Amino acid sequence: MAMAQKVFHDPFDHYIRKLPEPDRDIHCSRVKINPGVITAIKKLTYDTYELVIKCDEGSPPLTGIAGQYGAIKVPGVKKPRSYSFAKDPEDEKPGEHTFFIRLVHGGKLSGWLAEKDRTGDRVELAGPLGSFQLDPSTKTMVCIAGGSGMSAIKAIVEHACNLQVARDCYFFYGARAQHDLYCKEELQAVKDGWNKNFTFEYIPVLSEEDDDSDWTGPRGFVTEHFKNEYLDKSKIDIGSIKSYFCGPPPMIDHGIKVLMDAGLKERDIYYDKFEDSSSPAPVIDNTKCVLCDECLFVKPVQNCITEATNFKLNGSGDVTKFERIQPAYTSGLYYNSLYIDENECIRCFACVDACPHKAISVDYDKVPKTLRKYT
Amino acid sequence: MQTDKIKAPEGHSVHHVTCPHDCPDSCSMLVTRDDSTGKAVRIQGDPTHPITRGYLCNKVNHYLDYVYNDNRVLYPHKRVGPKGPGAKFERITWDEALDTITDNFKSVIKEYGSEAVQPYSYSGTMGMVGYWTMDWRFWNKMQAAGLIQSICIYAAMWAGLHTYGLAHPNMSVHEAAEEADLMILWGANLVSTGVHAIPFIREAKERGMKLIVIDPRVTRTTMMADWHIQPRPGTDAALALGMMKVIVDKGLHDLDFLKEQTNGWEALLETKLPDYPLDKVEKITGVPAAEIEKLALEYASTKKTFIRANYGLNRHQNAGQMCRAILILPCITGALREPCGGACFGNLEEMWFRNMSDKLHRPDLGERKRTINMVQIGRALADDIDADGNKMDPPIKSIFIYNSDPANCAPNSNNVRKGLMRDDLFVAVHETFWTDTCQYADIVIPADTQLERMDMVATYGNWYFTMNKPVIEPLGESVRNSELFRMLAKKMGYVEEGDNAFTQTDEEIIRDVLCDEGESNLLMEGIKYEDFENVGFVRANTGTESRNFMKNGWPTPSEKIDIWCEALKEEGVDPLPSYVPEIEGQEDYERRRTYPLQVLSSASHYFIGDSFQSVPRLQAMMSRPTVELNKEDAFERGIEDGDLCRMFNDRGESYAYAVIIDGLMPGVCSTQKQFKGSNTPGGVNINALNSEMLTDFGTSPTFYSCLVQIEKASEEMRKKALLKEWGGKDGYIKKWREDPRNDGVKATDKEIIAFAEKQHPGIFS
Repeated sequence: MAMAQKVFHDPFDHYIRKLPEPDRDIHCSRVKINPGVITAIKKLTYDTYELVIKCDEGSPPLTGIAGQYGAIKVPGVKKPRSYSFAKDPEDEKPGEHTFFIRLVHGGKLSGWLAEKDRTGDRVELAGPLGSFQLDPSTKTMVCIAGGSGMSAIKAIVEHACNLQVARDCYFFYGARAQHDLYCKEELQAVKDGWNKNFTFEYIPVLSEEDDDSDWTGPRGFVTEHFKNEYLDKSKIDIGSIKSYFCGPPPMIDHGIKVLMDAGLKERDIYYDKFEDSSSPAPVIDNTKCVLCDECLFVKPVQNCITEATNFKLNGSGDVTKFERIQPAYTSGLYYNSLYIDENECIRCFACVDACPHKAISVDYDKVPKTLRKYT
Repeated sequence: MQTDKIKAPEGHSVHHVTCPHDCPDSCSMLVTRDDSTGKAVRIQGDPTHPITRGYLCNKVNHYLDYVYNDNRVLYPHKRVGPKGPGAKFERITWDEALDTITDNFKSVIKEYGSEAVQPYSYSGTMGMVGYWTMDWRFWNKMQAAGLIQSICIYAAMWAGLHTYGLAHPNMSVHEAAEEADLMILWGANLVSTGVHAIPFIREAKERGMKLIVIDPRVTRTTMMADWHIQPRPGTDAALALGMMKVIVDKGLHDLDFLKEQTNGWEALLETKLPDYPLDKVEKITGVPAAEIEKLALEYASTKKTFIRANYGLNRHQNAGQMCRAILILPCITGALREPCGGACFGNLEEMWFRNMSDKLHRPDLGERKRTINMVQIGRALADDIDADGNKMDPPIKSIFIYNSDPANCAPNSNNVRKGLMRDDLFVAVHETFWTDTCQYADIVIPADTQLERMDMVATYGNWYFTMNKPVIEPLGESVRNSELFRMLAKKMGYVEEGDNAFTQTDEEIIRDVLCDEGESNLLMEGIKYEDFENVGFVRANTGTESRNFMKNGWPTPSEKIDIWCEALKEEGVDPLPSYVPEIEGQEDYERRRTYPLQVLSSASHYFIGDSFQSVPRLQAMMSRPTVELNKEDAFERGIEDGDLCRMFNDRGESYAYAVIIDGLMPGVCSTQKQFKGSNTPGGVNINALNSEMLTDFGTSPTFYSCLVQIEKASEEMRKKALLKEWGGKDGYIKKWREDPRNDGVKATDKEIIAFAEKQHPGIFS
């Protein structure tokens, strides 16, 4: 019998190596990656589930703010997917986090969830991510959501209700038909609990409801309804609002256009767009990057942003190969680059938000520029 | 100081802390503490601080790994066995440590006099209390030898004092960026040495401000510039004077400003500027005449301009004049008329030094008898020479080192280490980490970190005073600086009834500093201790009438901006700004025949001076010292990227790995300052190669006036360096077994070593 050949690896060659990890007790990183278990699953509509994940005892607290999101990794699916916290974190039990997950055709995570009862299954939860949150002003809140964009907006209005903010709120929710609507009771509770001196109004708008159904509420596209019935009829003063969008990108883009055409400033618009894994990954512009490491603190997965060197490019400028900088390599990160590996990136865009230097964007040139090559 | 600026998780609390490190930003930070364990678990920038803006630099982002670090000195130790690299230490009690130190002080004072005791300290912490209070009172009381703390900023500071009467004539780069239309970063790699300016500059660029960076090196800051100008190192005074001549020749100077606000402008225009025609300046600086002219014209024709220079400039032998020439540029164009206009290095002198030394230092406690310059600690210890060049008798018999690592930070480090090795010298070191200086100590006592103490930081790069209160208990048996000197004072019998010199608490010292009664700092006018509660920081009071210099006169002898400086004339220095070729620089043709490369030992992106070298991530990102070389210089020497190189001159040698940088000027190379010597292949950093020579004025060090030769290191040295990194054969075997790719592969130690030998032929022979 032939002996299997021993393949030795030189521990000092250049390969992607795990860098020294900080003490786990010092969860200095803004984002924690906690093991946990699915404690409850509830079907909200024919295609939307409510999922509760409880992080394991002793894991560092994942202190999110309403509007932020987490990334859920399930066994057998390579990349985690991001989902907004669907409850004001202040209303959650310690270590628990609630999400709304909509079945998507071909969606790996939602497919896994729909396959069978996953209660009790072990998952990983990374978060909190993102900077979408309630602003501190007292301007009227105009919230527009679609699909499972319900989650983040619901968390924000719940949070505003808990804070008893002194401001009005109009929540427009776009869905196709009545069977897409959910969270009716929760939103009624928000309305009942809202600061008594101010208004909270929940306005579901249906775009594909049968004409002869019993639906008496508004019909059409949610953004159109908002424009025709509220903006154009001066029910809402554009000069005194802050707007929050959460949902599919076309809805958000249209909504932003409507508001900006009406004269709303960009700074008064907050949004959380649902991007999927086929969207382009953000790129770090090394001529803007100051290597402050802030982006590394919001990594939802281990290797999405790496310290890279020796880039190999193909004819069209795509990086086909790179090496990770590691101890005992000749020159430090300063001469090389932080780099987003698009094969590892989960498109959570948390790094884009976290970068204080606007050095990360999907719009930047993919070809890495480093100090040594730069003239 | 607890705060609710960010939400604390259940069972946690959030506290204000200020970064104490030697950097112009002095960030306000928020630390989250797990109240059940008392451990700090998270650190982040304060989103409400106008300069910090909610984020930290790559160094301080890892501050908790600095606090909870395996390399910390947590208990008092005494050396057992010989001193020097590889020295062994044994844990002792605080009592034994204090007794050993104070017994030594007493016997040295008795036998040689108190001047034979030498304190040595610098900016290990920039907190006012930790840097400069109880310790200074202690040394005054003892009448120990004095120390000129000029190792960093003095040439630039004195250039400012001799010109404007203040080191920092106008404003911070952050505030200037909000208005300026043209900004020059002169020798300033702010990405690495003041990163919080960068978003302000980026925003300014987005609204149309032009950014010019003047730097012989290629840095991450020059990558951001609209225009990068590379003068030969040490020739910047010629560049500035050449610009002035162009401006005056074209009639673009602000004659009214010169007449009203400056003293000696006629002499400058009539007798000095004619010496700097473009062709000559081109020859000196290596910058093409057309470029100099364009720079001068753009500078003069833009109304709102701001120059932020940095301290690298003040590390050349001709630094004083160089800094002065740059500081005078805005007077020529009248840029100072604009609120954002001017030129500056830093404002430490105004924020901190001004008017308060009596309260902080208590000079009334005793007079120092002799003084050394900290730059020349080598010759003071090894050759018994004091600051004035006189032979010291008695020699230094006892040195107490804190807030500093002279074995790595002071120039001519072979001489420093030789001095520290003296058998008859007692060395005590108060340190947070096991630095190389500790290897020479008789006693090492543990210092704390910023999370464990109270202090107030007066920044030197913006206008904010920041308060710091302890968040965690001191680790191990570490003791903060002020408390250490209270303990020493008690042991020495210095505590006197009715005098609070050694009994004042840290809080009382800070309250005293902020008190308007007696000596006080104008910038603190109206600021109360309570103002810091809940906020953490307070802006300096810059708007007082006394600081309206344009209206009320400048704090100089002439009450105008001294283009002509009489005090310099008395020192034997040209009273007008001028370019004098630096000793051991670009125009030192004689020495360049043997040592053709000028080495600039600039700040590393990963460390702040000597600090942070024990933080695992930063160590990993900069595990080896590097020397940046131009393509041609490298090619000429057969050096390729990544090669281990030997840098040497007649004073010493140091090893670093080559990084070939395309755009670096020929004849210039660059390496990291203060790299931990024991982490380099040869055991000493670049400071082994530079001299103890001082600047033209300001008695600053001349780290950058250093000519060297570089060659590819010998094969033997390369192997030695590699083995050192591996930790020898055993280290290789350990790392091999840890490598996950080797999981499941059975191998004996012998087989692993045979494999290593095959991968790295001859490594063990």
